[in-house]
Amino acid sequence: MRLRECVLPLLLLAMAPLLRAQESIAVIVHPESGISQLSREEVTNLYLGRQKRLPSGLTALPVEQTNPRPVWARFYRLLVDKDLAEINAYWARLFFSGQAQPPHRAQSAQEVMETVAANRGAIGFVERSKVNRRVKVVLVLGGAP
Amino acid sequence: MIRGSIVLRTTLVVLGATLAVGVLADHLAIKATRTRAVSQQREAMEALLDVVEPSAAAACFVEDKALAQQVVQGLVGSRSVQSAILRTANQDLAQASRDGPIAPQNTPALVRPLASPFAPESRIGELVLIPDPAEAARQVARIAAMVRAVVAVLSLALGCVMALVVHRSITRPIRILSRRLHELEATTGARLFFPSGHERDEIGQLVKDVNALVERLMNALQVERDLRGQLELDQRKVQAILENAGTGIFVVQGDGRMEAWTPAFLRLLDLEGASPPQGSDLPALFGLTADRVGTCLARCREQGLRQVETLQISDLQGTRQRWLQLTLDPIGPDWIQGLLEDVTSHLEAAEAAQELATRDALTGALNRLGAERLLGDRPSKGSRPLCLMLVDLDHFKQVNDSRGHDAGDEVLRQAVLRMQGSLRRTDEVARLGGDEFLLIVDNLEDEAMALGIADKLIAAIGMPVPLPEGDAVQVGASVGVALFPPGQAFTWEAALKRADRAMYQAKQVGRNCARLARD
Repeated sequence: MRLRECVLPLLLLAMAPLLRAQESIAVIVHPESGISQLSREEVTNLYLGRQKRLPSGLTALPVEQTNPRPVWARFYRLLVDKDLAEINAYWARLFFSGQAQPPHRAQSAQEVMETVAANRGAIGFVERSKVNRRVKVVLVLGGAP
Repeated sequence: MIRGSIVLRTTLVVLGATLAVGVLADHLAIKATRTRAVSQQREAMEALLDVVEPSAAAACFVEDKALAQQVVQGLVGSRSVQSAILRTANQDLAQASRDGPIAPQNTPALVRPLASPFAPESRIGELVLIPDPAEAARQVARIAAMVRAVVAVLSLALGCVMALVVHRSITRPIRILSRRLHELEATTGARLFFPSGHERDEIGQLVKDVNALVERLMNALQVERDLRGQLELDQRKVQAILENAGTGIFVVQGDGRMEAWTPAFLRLLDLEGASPPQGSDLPALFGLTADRVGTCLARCREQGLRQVETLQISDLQGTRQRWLQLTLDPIGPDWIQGLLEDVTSHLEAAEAAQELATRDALTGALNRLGAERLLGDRPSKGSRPLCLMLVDLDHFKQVNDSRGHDAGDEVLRQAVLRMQGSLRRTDEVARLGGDEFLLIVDNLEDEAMALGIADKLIAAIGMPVPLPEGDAVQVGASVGVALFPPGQAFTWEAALKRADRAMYQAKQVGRNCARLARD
């Protein structure tokens, strides 16, 4: 009985990184962006070049986190149900006209947090557990409702 | 030209037929091609849309006019597309057309709705393609040109083949046959030979038929030749017969104009040296007897029956009399065939026979038959009476008995001569038998004259008859005289009886006298 009570927490502990990968992703903005909430569509439009300004009127600066790659892929999967290859192909079509820019790329969640905290028009995404007080969550993708 | 050449005609017909079929095929092909070309064009445009749809959707999504322009430019690069428009719900992002501005189109445009690349259910714009009708027309024209070329080549080839075939298997053999027919000596029985390779086909049949015809003609010709030879022979025979016949044969027209004659005809009429009597009048050739011949001819013409006429002809010198018998036979409308025969010898022979039958051989006087024929049932020929005298010699039997038959015959001969001497030349003496004689004295004055003659007669007979022995005998004569006035009924037997009775009376009264018959 005692053993059984000990095994379950240990098992859960061992699976922690896997569980964290399924963690929900938070779309974040600068606290003074003038926005408290964004719809999934608005986020999609901002990240895929359709909207270049935030609803508050600020020029949008979308930032995407490319490392770790599963988070990057999970973001687009959750947002528009596409994989990264499809997103890349999409951008490849738009790339040569130069009118639409793909999101700025950040190498880590840390960098995303810093970029968003530093720019009023910036918008980014991180795992929900990485969110701190310096940014404002406007949309949560995936995870528990 | 066209009607004159089978090859040309056949070729033209074949060309015409293939061209007609070609035109029909062309028409059908164009019709089918047109529908097909339109649907093919539509399919091609759909395929184009499939290719550019993601880019177009992306351009719409971000409203990227540059990309949109790229897309529509790319689309009008296709020959099927006349113009292309990419538009969002709010605006036209880009448009392009092949030449100049977009013209209003009859052909329905192809509209492809564009969904957001990230939200398939949300429509963010549309891509409109207007097809280029010229492309479909070009397609149709290409196919039609191909069909026409094929048909043209086909009809040309067919025409050539037909011309070749017709020329080789029909025209050339016919021409060869025609040439050989021209050169064919059909009358010698020459045969047409077969153009090589056509022994068993229709041409061969034609040659066979021609040869059969030639053979039949040859046979007919031979029969004709034989018949002509036979005819010539017959004609020569008839000619010979006609020329050598003693009878003159001739043909005249109804009016008497001479048409044809044999040499004998001329000979009989003594016309051998004269000019041929072609067309001259038949009666005129007969000289003095022309009238009788003319009458005979007219009778023959009118009655349509055979006419026979015996004519007496004197020759030029008038020395010889000839009898010619002319026979005329109608031989069809207005034609008369005639025969001319010399019957002189016949008549003479008949006359001789007559003489023999009617003359007494011993005395040369008529016999009983001769007398009977001469008199017939006729009294006097003239206006005066006929006189018959029956003479019976007296004492003739004694002369016969005592001096023999020769003396008797001499007495009889002398008696006849003396009776003839007592009469006129026109009177006749007949010996009825034995020593009985009948004298026919025509046209006598009266009874007295008759008795006078009778007396003279008795006197003449009563003269002595000298015999060869040197002496003479004497007989008498009893004469019965009967006169028959003209118009009185007369029969030989009755007349003879009458004279006989008178003669009997003369015997009774003492002989050597004449007695007149009185009834």
